[in-house]
Order: sequence, then C-alpha cells, then structure tokens
Amino acid sequence: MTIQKVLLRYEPEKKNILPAIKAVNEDSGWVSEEAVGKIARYFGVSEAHVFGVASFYDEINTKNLAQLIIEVCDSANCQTKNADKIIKSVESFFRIKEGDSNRKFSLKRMSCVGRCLEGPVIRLNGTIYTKTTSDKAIKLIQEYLGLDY
Amino acid sequence: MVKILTENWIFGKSLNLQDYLKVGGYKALKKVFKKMKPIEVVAEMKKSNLQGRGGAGFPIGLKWEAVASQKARPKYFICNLDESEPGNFKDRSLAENNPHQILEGIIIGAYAVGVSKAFLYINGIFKEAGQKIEQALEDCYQNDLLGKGILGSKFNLDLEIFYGAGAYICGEESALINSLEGKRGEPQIKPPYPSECGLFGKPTIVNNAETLSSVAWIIENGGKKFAEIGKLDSPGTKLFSIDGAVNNSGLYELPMDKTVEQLIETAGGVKAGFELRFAQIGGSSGRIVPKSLLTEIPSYSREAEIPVGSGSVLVVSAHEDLKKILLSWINFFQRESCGKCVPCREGTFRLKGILERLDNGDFNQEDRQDLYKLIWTLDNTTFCPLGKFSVVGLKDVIRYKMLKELV
Repeated sequence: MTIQKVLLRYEPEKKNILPAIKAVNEDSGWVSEEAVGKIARYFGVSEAHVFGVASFYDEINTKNLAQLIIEVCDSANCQTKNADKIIKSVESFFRIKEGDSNRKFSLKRMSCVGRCLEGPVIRLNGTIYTKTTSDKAIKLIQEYLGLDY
Repeated sequence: MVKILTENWIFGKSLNLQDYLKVGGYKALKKVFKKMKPIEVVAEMKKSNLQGRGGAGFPIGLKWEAVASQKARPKYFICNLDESEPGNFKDRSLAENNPHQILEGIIIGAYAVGVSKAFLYINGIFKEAGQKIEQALEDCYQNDLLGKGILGSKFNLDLEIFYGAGAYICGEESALINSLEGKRGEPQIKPPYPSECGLFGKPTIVNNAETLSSVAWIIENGGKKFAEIGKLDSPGTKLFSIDGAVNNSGLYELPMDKTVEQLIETAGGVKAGFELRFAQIGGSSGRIVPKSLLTEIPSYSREAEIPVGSGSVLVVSAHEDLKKILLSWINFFQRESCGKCVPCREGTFRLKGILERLDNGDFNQEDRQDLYKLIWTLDNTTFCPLGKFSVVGLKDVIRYKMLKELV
C-alpha cells in the first residue's frame, strides 16, 4: 500500500497522528524520511514533530532494521526466570552481540509485556513467545531465518 | 471474602455483554440514570474513599469533583490501560476477562463529571485485551449503552480506543495526554493538573482501569460499604500479581489489609528448597521488603511503610543473582527514560554503566563515590517521578546492607 493510501484511512486530526505513524510503520516495516515528510504534510505539522514522535516510541522503527528483530524481556520477573541465559545462548549460537544489528538480525532487551506468569518472554518481529528456554529460542529463530541457518 | 473485581470471572473465558448482563452488569448504570444526579454519584465515590489503583493512590472522588466543578467545555474522560510496570498484569487481565466492568465504570464516570467524549488508552502490546475491548465497545454501541441517548436518557457518550506505541512513561497522566495529542509521550509540568488543563487544554479525568472496575460495585452497594472493606484509610480490594519463588504464582484479589507474609502465603508460600531473600512490592519501581519487614501491610495509606503501588509482588529467593536484578531495574529505567530532562536521561545511563561494572567485577573506588551522587541526583532533581523510581530498589538494597556482599 502506498503511504498516501494508509494516511487516507485517518482524519487529519491531532489525535490520529500517532495511530497513522503506527499504521505506516506496520505497513512498511519502518518509517522512512520520505514517509515522515508525507505524514507531516498530511497532518499539517512539521517534519521534526513527526520524526520526534516516531523516534520516541519503542514500537516504531525509524531505521530500516534487520530482517529479524529478536527481543528478550529482561524485566525483574523474567530475569529471575533466566532471561540473561537466553541472551547469552543466542549471542553465542548466532555469533551476534546484544545491541548489534546487521542485515540478518538484531538482538536487544525489551521492557515488560505483562506476560510474567509465562516468562521468560521473547519477541520475534513483534510476535510474543512465552515459556522460552535457550534451546526453544534458538529453534524459533532458526525457523524464522530458514532451517539451514 | 468479598470480591469485587474478579467476582464474575469465568476461568479461561471472557465475559461478553450477555454474560455480563446475566451477572447484574449495567444495573449500576441504570440506577445512576434513574435515581442519581451527577453530583450524587461524585458524593458516593467520595464516601467510598476509592484510591487510584495505578500506583499513586489519589482518591477518585476528589478527582471527579475537581473536574465536575470546571466550567470549561468540552471535558474529557480517559481510562488508563497503559499498564507497563514490570511484573504487573492486572489491568490486562481485567480487560481480557471482564471488559464491560471497565466500560461501565467509564460511562458512570463520564455521566458524573459531564463528559461526552471518552478515550481508553491501552498498551499497544495488549493485542488480546484490545480485541476484547473493541468487541465490548461494539456491543455497547449496538445495545444503546454508548452513543446518543444512552438507555433512553438524555446522556450522550462517545468512547474511543487508542493504542499506545510502547512507552512506560505514557502511564503517567500528563505524558499519556501528550501521546493522545500526537506528541512525544513526555510528561508535562504540574500544575496545571489535567483536571484543569488536560487533553487539548480542557479539563480531563485520567483513571486507571482497575480503579474504574470498582465503580459499578460502589454505586450498587454504596460507598459506605466499600469504605468498610480492609483498612480504613486504604479501603477496598486490590489485585495482586504475585510471581517469583512462590508455589502458585498468579493474580489474586484481596482486601488491602494483608501483610506481605500473608500475600506470599496466598500464593502458596515460598517454593520448597528456596529461601526468601526479599519481596519487591509494586514492580521495578517498588520498595524492597526484607524478612524483617514481612509483617508490614502494603497499602495506599499515608503512614504505610511499604506503598502498595500497582500491586505486584515479586518474591526473590537467595538463589537469585542480585546483581542481575539491579541491572534489570536500571536497564528498564534507562530504556524508558523519555530524555526530556538531563538528570534522568544521563543519570540512568551513568548508573547503568556503574552497575555493569559491578556485574563484571570492575567496580572501583570512583564508582562507589559516583553511585551515591547519582542516586541523590535521580532521587531529587528529575522532572517527573521516573527518575525517583529508578533508584527506589537500589536505595533499599543499600539500606538493608546487601550491596556490601556484591562488591
């Protein structure tokens, strides 16, 4: 869908700025500089305003990120359920470092998603997986990347 | 034991409109329209002394009264369901299990303060809860419970759901309002309070979803009866999300007169083979309760040694690596610091560096000095309470002499 088409789903009112940015992000996977310009013109606000909002929220990407975004919850509850071990295993198995991002994948910590009872929780491209172990996490990531990885 | 919030939950099934009506749902709303003036609804809430369940514990009656007396039009009503305190899942569970109970609270509240436009701000990650709320909204519109002339009265209310985009700070009311206005979710200076100058500059109520879930019960049974449950200066029941080294971790509804020890017992006690080191009440911004304080009662009363906050209980055993928990707290607050004020943005970042060195065994003399300065700065100089929150746990770790063992 073109950005314009996504935007036309919203009335150009202030309260629709964030929902529209989210919709563009969902549609294209990220919010590019070009998209920021279009959103700004549509709502009649500055590009700086739109970019400021887009870059503020965790759920919106202002960079064209990796094919697979791996997020591990490290809030206290998941931490007591060995979240750190999962990060360490993923790091060593896929030879990446937490915080790094290459074209294939990026690995980062995320905040609580309220599924503490089913922890530890990880997210792969936004989909939540619960009761994760190191082995389960590695398997899931392999499935996302294609099994030969 | 009296249950208000979870009374009608059917395990594993969300209550739809039919189910909710069957258990007496929207009876309170009908009573309000038939017998009560808005001012009487506010008076009933004041009598109940129901306090805000989001964490701050501000009496809902006073908030409603403040907005009801405002002359400016329009006014707005916002239900805060942006739950994101680590270890909490009460609001999400309420929305998933009994969404209409929240909606009934919103409609009664909107009537009481004279609002015709309300929003429900929900954490963007809560997909299932969002679907349940959307379905409930649709059912309400189709059954004359929302829209024009609700239940044959002259009262109109439009309720809109608004999804957040992942920011802890948006649970703070002024940041939430900024977010709704399409801005960065940064907190605003107070005063003016949202009750005078909130959404789009108009008087606005922001109430937590758990708080609103008690409203219908209070209207039906009377504020006086609610005020008699539990502790007198912190009445009513509360949802506790109990997790960690306990046998039956889960969500429990209890009156707020239980000691920390009783809360742990409710969740089946500490797991066999584990030894309790401390419990943390109210998520990562909550106080630490060592063994010596297990008889304290967490509540919203001013004299409470342990504030109940959002009501999560994390039981930490002696098996846990305390350094990892310290890191978990600071990682969270560093990530969620909005960046508006320097002490919080830089303070959490530097503190994280120090705690990482502590974890790696590189903690030096300079770090020790900086640690205390940073704690003071975060505790005293940040724009909003997030900075203060980031060191609550760490301060307690120092207070109860646990830091010594780590260095």
